[in-house]
Amino acid sequence: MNCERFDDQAELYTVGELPPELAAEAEAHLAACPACRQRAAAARRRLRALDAALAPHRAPEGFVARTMARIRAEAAPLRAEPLRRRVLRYAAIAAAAALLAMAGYGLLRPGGDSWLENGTVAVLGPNARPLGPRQALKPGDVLATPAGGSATLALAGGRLRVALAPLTTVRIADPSTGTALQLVSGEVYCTGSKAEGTPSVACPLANVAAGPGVVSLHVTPEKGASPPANGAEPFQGTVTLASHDGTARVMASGRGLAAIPLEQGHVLALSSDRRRALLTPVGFEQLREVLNAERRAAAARHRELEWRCDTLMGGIQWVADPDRVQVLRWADELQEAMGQLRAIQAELDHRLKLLERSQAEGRRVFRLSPPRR
Amino acid sequence: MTPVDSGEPTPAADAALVADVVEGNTEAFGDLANRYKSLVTSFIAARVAASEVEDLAQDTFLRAFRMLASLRDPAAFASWLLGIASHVCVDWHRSRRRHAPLEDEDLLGPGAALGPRRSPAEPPDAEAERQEAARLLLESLDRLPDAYRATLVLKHMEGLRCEEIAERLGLALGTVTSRLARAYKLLRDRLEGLADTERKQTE
Repeated sequence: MNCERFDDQAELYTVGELPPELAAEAEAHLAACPACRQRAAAARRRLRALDAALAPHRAPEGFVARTMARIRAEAAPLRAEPLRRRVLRYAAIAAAAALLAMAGYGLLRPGGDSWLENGTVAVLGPNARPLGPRQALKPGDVLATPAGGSATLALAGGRLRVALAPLTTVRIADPSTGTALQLVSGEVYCTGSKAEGTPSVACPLANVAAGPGVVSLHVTPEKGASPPANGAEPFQGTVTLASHDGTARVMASGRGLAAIPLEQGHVLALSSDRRRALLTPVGFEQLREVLNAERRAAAARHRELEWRCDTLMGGIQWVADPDRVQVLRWADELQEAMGQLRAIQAELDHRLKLLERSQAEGRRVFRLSPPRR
Repeated sequence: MTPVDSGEPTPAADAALVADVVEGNTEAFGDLANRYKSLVTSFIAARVAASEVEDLAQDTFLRAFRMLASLRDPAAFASWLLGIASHVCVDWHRSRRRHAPLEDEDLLGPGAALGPRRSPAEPPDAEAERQEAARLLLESLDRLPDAYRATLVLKHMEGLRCEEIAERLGLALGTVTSRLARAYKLLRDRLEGLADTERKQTE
C-alpha cells in the first residue's frame, strides 16, 4: 500500500471498516511511514469531530403523536374523513353553497399578487412547498392551517386580508378568472382591507362569489353570536366586500341580519330573495335631524287625530242613535291610529337614545334604503 | 404479501409502509415517523438551535409526507428522508439570514443594515473555533449527495457497523464500504475547500 492509497482510506482504516487483508496492508505501511502515521492521526481528529457533530439526540416525548396530528390535519381535507367532516360541521352549511371566490375588477390583477401575511399554512398537493411569511401564493395552491394554528392571507395586492381559522383549507384561484380564493373547508374571516383604509366585516366567511367590481363573501354568524330573536334560522348569507371605490354590500339569505357586525363595514347592501337594500353610513347629526323631524311629524299627526277625535266625541250627543255606532267606530279607528303614532314616537325616542349612546361609544350608523338599480 | 415488521427498519419494510401511505393509509406514516424520529431529530439537533429542533423535525416528516408520492425508490426512504431534513435545516438558516438584516433596518433605520453586521473580530477562543469547525463540517455534510450523507449519518450518529448499514439500506457490504470511503473523502475535500474559501475571505 502506498501513501496516496492509505490517505484515501485513512478514515475507513481508523473506524475498523477496512476489509481484513487491506487492513493488514495498511498496518504494515503505517509501521514504515511516519507521514502516514500523521495522516492517521488527522483522520482520527476528523472522525472525532464527526462523532461530536453527529451526537445522537433522542426524539422528545410525544414527537410522533404531534407530528401525526399535523399530518392528519393535512391529509384529512384531501380525503374528507368523517372526523374532519364532524369538526367542520359548522362550515358545512357554507360548503353547500357555491365555491368561495373573490372577485374583482380593480381588485385583482392577473398574475396574482397574494401572499402569506403571517401564520402557518401547509401547501398541499402538486404545489407543495414550504411557505414563509411574505411569500407569494400561486394560483392552484391549496393551503391548509394546522389544528392549532391560523394564518392571514393578503389578497388582491394586500388590499384584502383574510384570516384562516385552524383546520381550514382554501385554494388560491387563478385571478384572471376574477376569483382569488376558494374555500374547500373550514372557516375564513375577513380581517380588513388595509389599502382602503377601512376595516371590513369581521365575520366568518364561507363562500365568496364573483361579481364585477365587488368582492363577495358568504357569511355565517360568528360563533357565540346570539341567534336572531325572532326564532329565525341561523343567519346565512353573502357579504360583498370593499371594491375599489370603497363600497361594500351584504347580500343576505335568511333573516337574522343582526348577526353581522355591520358597523364595521363602510357602505353595505343587504339583499335576499325577499329584500334588497343599501346601507349607507349616516352622520350622527344628519341622523338625529332625520329622527327629530320624523318625531315632530308624528307628534303633529297625533295632535291632529286627537283634535278630530275630541271633536267627534264632543258632538256625539247630537248624533242620532242609529248613527252613533258609526261615530264610535270612527273614534275607535282614530284612537288606534293615535296609539300607533304614540308607538312610533316611543320608537323614535328609543332610536334617539340609541343614537346618543352610539355616538358616545364611537359607533357608526347606517341607513337602510332600497338599492339603486 | 409479507407481514410488515414495524419495529425493524429495513428497506423492504420501509417500502411496504411507503406504499401503504401512498395508497391512502395516513396512519402507516406514523410507523415510519416512529422508526426515523431519532435519526431525524439527531440530524437536525446538530444543525439548528435547540428550540427549533422539534418544529423542524416535524416539518421534515410533514414535507416527506407531502412528497412521498414523488419518492422513486421507496427502499431508499432513509436516505431520502435525511435529504429532506438537510433541506429543511438549510431553509431555516436561509430564512434567518434573510430576515436578520430587515430587523436591523426596522430597529435602527434604513442605513443600519449597511454597517458591519457583526462586531469585528471577537477574540477567537477554542470553543468558538470548535463550534466554527463543527458548523463547517455540517455544512459540508449537507452538501454531500443523499446516499453518502445517509451512510455517514448511520455510521456516526447511529453507530452502526457497515454490515448493519448494508442491511438497513438494502445494499451489498462492498457497496456500503466503498460508499463510506468515498463519503469520507468527499467530506474532507469539501471541508478543505470551505476552509480555503473562508481563509481567503478573512485575509
